[in-house]
Amino acid sequence: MYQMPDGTKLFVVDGHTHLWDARPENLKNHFGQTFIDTFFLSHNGLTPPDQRWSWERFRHYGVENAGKDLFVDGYVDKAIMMPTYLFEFYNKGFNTTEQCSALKAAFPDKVILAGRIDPRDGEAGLEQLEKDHARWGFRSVKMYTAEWKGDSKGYSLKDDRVPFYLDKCRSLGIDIIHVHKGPTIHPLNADAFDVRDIDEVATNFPDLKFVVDHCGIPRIDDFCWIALQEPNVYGGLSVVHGFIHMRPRYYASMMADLLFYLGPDRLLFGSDYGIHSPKWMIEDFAAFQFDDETAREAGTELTLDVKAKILGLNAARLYGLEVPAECHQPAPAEVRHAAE
Amino acid sequence: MPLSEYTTPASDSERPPPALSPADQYRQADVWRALDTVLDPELDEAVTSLDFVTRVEIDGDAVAVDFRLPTYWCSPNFAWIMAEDMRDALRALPWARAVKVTLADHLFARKINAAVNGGVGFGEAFVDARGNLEELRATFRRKAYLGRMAELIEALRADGRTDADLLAMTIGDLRTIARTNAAAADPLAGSALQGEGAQAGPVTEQLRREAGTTHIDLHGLAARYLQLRTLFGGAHGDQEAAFRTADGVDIAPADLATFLRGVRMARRGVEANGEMCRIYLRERRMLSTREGSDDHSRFPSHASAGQGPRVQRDA
Repeated sequence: MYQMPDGTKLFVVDGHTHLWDARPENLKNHFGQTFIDTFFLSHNGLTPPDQRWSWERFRHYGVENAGKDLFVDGYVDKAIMMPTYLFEFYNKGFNTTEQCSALKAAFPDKVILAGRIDPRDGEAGLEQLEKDHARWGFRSVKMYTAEWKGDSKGYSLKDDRVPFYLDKCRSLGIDIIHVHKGPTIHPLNADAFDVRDIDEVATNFPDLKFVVDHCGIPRIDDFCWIALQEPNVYGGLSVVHGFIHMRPRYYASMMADLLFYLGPDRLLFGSDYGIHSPKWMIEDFAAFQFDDETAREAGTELTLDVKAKILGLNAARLYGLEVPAECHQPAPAEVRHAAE
Repeated sequence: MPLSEYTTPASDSERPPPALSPADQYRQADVWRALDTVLDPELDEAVTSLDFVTRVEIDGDAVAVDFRLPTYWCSPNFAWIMAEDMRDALRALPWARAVKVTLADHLFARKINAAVNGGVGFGEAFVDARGNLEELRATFRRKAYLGRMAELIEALRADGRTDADLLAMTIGDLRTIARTNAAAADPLAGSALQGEGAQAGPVTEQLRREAGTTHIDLHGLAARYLQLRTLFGGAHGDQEAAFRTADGVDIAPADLATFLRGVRMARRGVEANGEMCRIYLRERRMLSTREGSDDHSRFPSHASAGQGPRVQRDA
């Protein structure tokens, strides 16, 4: 929960968090090393200088640090954990649901685990999803389209096995599908981070909600066009928010587009923890204002209502989370207005 | 693909610059000018202004260029395009007999280096790739056209022109603007694909603005735009409209704002990616500098990375 200077309280859902293990003994090969190296570059490049971590801490911060960074220092009421398996690079996986569940065990009321599906797992993957769901009870799953698997260097949501998985999710009551679409790293020319494959599944599964994590950066334009047409597509702001401190103008211009095309009701805060910590992002965001030109572009100021929605209310609505009565909620009339 | 086909990075050994003869100095300048024309296709900015080029070596009529991207994981298709474009730009130098372009510290370095220097095509080198690079080039060239247009229009507006003025402008007008600067070469005189990157890219311009410099290089922006206007926007004689959609449709004054919003959005993502590239590159350098110093705890040395089976190292 974040308290504004005037005492107003904001409900905070961090929609994108991890608990990874990149310690030397878990590296399967050189790719495990360079993968975490790239994360560390992002951490160092965008985190305020006085809040950067040591390399040791970065590669494995553990349950205790995560709890402190998220729930004690980081204002987070609920953290949604996004698994990233990467068994091709890490012996025991990089950030599996199993690994994440250690944080859930320590903070059962604060942590929301997401499952993981990969259409290339075939029949066995469907069974695994059932087992995982029986064990942890998911509301959402994560799809990491650029994950390597054997000779495959990624998959598309247009893969003809995907509908079987989405049907399975639907039958289990899992109705939120997170899809990682982020900065250009490694896929071949087919570009496994291409966002346009969202369009088809979003149309074919109108009852499911698709959260495009990282808003498709750098294909943020493609993402905006798709989200404009598909009401069940949401923008996960991790990576976008990463820019807020070190590159506030870029951050503002990206937010202007996202607010103009998606409006304030379909954007979800996410820190991408441990790449970044929610503390400084939320503090910066709470204080952030658009200049006049940016507000014109965005079609809105960054009002208290907009901030409250992005920081937690949108995710609360999506995930069916109860918002404490003490937290700020837009006046009902405004909600209706926003929905129009 | 077996692991042995991937490449582990070589250490960044900084070599002392060899003493150059006057002839070599001229050739060195030739090489940098040629490299200035090679763009990162996604960022529409020269590989030189992005600081990707780490070494240029001239030995008589042989030239060797090394380059490095911000991460080990940068998209191999773009890496390929840049390597190939560098090779072609260098081969076009009249004196160059032997050209070698080497990508360092990239997961596909060995493969890309062998193929690009050996003349093997992308489709042959990456059999599991879908689509083709020409489509990708075309997509990003189109984005670059729109990006350059938006940047020029912003600059012209800042220079006092109204939207009505802008839509009444012709290519001839833009050529006049581009030519006003004696240093700006006539972009329409040469091939449209040569010399595209001679001017500062949009992000550089942005950085200049953020640095508080108010100078706007209208000539350079006009020249940059005109280079791509020959490929997009339909007919491009002197009397043709300066600003049209990529498909050559005229823009009505009432539609300009909407059109530009779309264009600016396309640019924004590219700028964000450019930012990220630059941040990664800067951090990678800073960390490897520290790595070379006493502070080994700060960042893992690539040379000592990994406990598992090592993949084959580039020779």
